[in-house]
Amino acid sequence: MQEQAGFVEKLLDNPIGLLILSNVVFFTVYILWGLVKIETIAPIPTALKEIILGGK
Amino acid sequence: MALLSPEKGWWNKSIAKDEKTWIVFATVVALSLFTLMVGWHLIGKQNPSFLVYSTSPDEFYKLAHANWEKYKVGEEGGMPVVKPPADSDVFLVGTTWRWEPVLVLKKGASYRFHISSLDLLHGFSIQPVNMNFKIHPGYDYVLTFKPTSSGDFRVICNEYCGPGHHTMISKITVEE
Repeated sequence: MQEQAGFVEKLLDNPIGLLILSNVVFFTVYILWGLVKIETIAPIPTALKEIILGGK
Repeated sequence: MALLSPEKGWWNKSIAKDEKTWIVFATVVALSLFTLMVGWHLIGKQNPSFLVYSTSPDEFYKLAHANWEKYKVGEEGGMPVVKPPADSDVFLVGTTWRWEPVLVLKKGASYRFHISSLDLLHGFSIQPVNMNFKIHPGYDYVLTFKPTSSGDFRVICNEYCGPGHHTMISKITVEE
């Protein structure tokens, strides 16, 4: 418990640490998340296209 | 009067306790809001944002046209009036500067809306219920839609898309 409080205190006293935590971490996570999300979007399923175009 | 320079070495001084408390509090609030944003998909029974397919404007328009031809019941202002059966796929296309087609739906029935744009970013917005959805070209957004009240509803664009943006109005009629 004492160690945990010490770590938070230390982090809050470190302006560069706070800057990285508040900007770099979120920026990196959002960019990577967005890239993965966009790249993994599947095309329209062939079965659906056949239903629509096939006139079933 | 210009601001005075801060005391030398201020950068290395410890932050005051109340400021630390504020940073921790603000972080907790930010993380809670982020969690709520994701959780609202489940709690608020929202359409999941991952129901999207990649497509091209040509392919989507071809599918939309085939679908409209199948369920077309008339024409209004040069646009097809489409009356799809319950639990079917409905195609809506946004283009500069119109939403196509005019839809006739049944109250209480469920529909799978496929919405895309043929050119640039549009905003699919149903009024007066104030439902909004961003529509990017190249993607087929699938939304499950169940009208709960009858009447005429306007479909407008709520992402500025050029000089004809304000004329981008279509209609959804919900019948009893």
